[in-house]
Amino acid sequence: MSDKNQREQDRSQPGAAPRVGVYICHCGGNISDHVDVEKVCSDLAQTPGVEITRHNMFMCSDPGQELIMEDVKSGKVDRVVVASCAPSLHETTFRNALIRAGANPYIYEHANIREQVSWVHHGAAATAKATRLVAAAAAKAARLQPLEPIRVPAEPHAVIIGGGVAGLKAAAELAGRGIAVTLVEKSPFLGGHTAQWDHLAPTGEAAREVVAELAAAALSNPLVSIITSAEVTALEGYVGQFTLTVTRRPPAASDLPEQLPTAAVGAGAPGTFVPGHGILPAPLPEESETRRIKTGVVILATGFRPYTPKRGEYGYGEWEQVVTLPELIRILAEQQQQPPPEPVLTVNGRAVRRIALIHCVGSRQIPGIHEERPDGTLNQYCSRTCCTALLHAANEIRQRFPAVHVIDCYRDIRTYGRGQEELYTQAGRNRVLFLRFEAEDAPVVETAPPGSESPLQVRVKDTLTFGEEVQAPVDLVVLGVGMEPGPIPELIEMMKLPIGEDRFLQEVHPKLRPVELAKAGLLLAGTCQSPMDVGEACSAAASAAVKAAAILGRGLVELDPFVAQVDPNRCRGTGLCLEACLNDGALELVSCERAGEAGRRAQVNPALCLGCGACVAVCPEGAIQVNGWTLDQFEAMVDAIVADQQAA
Amino acid sequence: MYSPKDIIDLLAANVRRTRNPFGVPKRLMNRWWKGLELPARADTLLYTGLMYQAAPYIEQTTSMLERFEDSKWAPYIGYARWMPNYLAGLGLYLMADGKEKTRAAGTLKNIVRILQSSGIRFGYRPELDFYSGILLYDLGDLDGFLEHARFVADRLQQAGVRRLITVDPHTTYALKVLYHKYLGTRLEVKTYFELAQFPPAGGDRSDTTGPVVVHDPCFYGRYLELSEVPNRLLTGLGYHCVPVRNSGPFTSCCGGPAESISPKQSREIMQRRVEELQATGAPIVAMCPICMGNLRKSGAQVEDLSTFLARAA
Amino acid sequence: MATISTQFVEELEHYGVDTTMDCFNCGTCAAICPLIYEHFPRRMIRYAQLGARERILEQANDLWHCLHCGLCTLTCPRQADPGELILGLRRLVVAEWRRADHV
Ligand code: SF4
Ligand code: SF4
Repeated sequence: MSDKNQREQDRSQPGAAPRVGVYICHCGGNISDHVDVEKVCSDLAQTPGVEITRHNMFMCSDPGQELIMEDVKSGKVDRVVVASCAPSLHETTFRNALIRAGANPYIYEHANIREQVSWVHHGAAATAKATRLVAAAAAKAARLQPLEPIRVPAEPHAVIIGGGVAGLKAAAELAGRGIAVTLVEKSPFLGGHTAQWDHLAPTGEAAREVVAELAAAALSNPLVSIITSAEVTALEGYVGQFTLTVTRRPPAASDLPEQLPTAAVGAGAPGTFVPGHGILPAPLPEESETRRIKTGVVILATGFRPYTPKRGEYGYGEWEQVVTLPELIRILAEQQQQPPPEPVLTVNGRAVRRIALIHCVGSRQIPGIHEERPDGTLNQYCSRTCCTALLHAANEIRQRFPAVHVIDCYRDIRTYGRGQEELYTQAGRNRVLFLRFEAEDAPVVETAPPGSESPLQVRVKDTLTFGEEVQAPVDLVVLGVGMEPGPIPELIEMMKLPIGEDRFLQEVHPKLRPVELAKAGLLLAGTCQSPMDVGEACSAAASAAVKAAAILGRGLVELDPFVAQVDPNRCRGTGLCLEACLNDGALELVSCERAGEAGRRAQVNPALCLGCGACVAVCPEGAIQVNGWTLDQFEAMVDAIVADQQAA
Repeated sequence: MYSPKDIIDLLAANVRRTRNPFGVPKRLMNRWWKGLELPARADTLLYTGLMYQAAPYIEQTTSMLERFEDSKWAPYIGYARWMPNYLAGLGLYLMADGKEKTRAAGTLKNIVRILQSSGIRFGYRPELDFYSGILLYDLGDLDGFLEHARFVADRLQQAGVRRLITVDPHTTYALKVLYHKYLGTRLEVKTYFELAQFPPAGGDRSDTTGPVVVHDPCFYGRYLELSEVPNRLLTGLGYHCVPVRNSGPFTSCCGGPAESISPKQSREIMQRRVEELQATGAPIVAMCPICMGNLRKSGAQVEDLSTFLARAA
Repeated sequence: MATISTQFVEELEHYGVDTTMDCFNCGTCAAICPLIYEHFPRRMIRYAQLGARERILEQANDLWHCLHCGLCTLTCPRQADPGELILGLRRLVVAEWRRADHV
């Protein structure tokens, strides 16, 4: 490494003029159909400082990268410009190629001649613009200096916010890799919503056993500490070096089951399962306390909450015979075991003979059809889990109470995962009657006409019956409510968390960086990100744990070196830069000695600097610059763009 | 369309009275065997179910029905039960085409020849050869069908019959599947062509044989999955079975089963099928009297499978 | 408006049909049926699922268009045996007529 650095150093000695290599990509015609690539090459070859110009059908292909690496290795060039697609796609590819060639990755400049040229301009104009962009990049490249990434030590510790299945799974995974974890849970219980359910679709496992197993895996590892009845109230620092403030408060009596097991729960031992609530891992706090935790990463596993129907939505809140699916699950779990042959399903003291299930309640809402929230939002997404959960409930009812008939009103059946479609098939075998409605003709729940044997009736314009309206007397209506993001406005505000149009937390990229937030060191796990079933939440949690382990595993975190740098000889310590700075803590004034006198000067905290350049603009001395984007580099680019076109 | 209720009532009454849906006395209908001197062996019987013999009457009836469909006379079909000479019974016997009757007898005689030359030992007992009742089953009169089927099954059982050789798909399906399903009857039922055997074709016969197109009946193609057999036999005899769109399990219905309720619809479906068959340019081979009668209405050239097989027998 | 009667399916069992609810209304049977007639036979099967007895009796004659050709049963992806369902409905209607005749 030091050898290589030495070579780098030699090449970029002042005096030894930089030798720029320019590599232009055809992008298989995407670029070369509109830009005369060869002409750009020959024009650039005339530009001072440009040593070599080359072009290739696909610069990002292995042979394309080889071209660059060969020239760098042989010393022909010591600055590289690739002109191709947007830098977001392949800048990293080419920087890595430089590393493989033994060079510093920051002697690289990228010109975008696809999105910014060939996709939007044609003919001679396209070629002319491409030439100027590439010339500007070459001018900048000639002034690039090798840089070193910023390395900050990483605290080998993760904080997980949320003790549902995702939080528990992530905790167990991380601890299993030797990383200390603090899990912070708002309620006194672990297991989240899953702990409130009976059996999980589509496998039929007992929810409490799944929760108990996940909790045991986390609790039994001494590296995991759990703080329940607690919330994160402040976050400072940066990846590798966060400090969280966690406040623990005695829970409100209304949040607690009437009979809480009072037996003291030993630290670290898997706790008691309180039906309908979850695992109680520790005694309740008697008074508030606050503590600060240093951590390298934070995993958000804040979960979801079930959609609450509006009053009157399908009669909810108006008739006690209208309940949500979670309510039905509780009712079914609480039904006494009854002897065959004809077990009776009793709800609110009444025997039930016919049940209507309604899908997509609070999900897949459509502007103009569904009523918006006061803030103008709608749940336009599919909650993904309700179809399967409803079919699971339908099958359970038909099997446990064969005399009870089930009518399933759906918009589409979306049983997408392994074992789920089988539930639909099984529902047919169990003689569940399906009615299909369009969003604009939602079922109507109303009181049954006098003389009916049931209190309510459901009217549906049924597309399976060629749009005819059908009606059924029913004793119970069950609303398949969807998922909404958990209510975490304070965390969103405090951590500046990005949220999507659907109000769930939003990752950087669903495929390329599926569990990361733009702020380095913050990760996502489970249903805070989008509706998922328990299995999917656990896989997401495992991914977040792996990502966290990867960040913390090397003991230090590498950040791009594009941050502000102060020239101590020029800085007069005016402090104007501090006022302009957008990120608290990125700049500070430190004492120094200047010409034998005590003075002050600005100092950059590279881990916090955003590299935005706000300080550069205000410094009267020109004493602060952003590495990789210095003022002389900008000037060179502008000069190249406005320069008279080279005579070809 | 005729009122299904009237048709069902008429047919059910005929079956109850005469044990066949046309009300034609069996002794008049079933005469083809006379003079053939077939043995009266009891264990393996040739069993026609009277379907081929009924073909001329079906044709006569449907041509009348077709004439009156949607006319003001259609509703009077219900009274036919009280007018046996018009649509049933002796009158129908006299009206039916004599040529057709001869042709039906010829088909059955061919089948006897095929079986004999294949070395099959069998008998024929006209007094045990009953209509199967399948039409009542198809029309949804399960009670009527079962009453008749029980009558037939009892007679066969009393006579000690164990194996039947059938000649048409409807009777085959009734005896093989339905009698077993509903009555638990244990009979070994095989079609005549499943038993047919010919010595391997010697030399080039392409001057006497040629291309043919086989129309698989629904019951053989789909329900009983027997289409391979006639194809194999014909190919063995040197015929080239030209493939037709929709055959085997996916064969197209000839439309025949609808002819008593809605002759017009029946004709439409038949015409679609005939077009498919004629697109091959080859003569059509049928193996069901209903298909045969219906396809022929189009004027197409249709011959019974037995005609082809008998040439080699 | 048709009123759903969940008992009808059980009544149909007496007429030899126990696959009524296996149908998931894909319409394959109506597409392959040579009758090409008003969603036949799915329309009838749908009414049977709903237990819309009145609708079935109103349109009972349509049941006898069926050729009993069995294409629908062969192609039904759910093994709901649509052809047999039509036969079962015929039996139910015939029984209904016979009852009426006796009154
Ligand atoms: S093909 Fe089968 S499943 Fe599809 S509509 Fe017809 S009966 Fe129902
Ligand atoms: S059996 Fe009847 S309903 Fe089924 S395809 Fe044939 S004609 Fe149509």
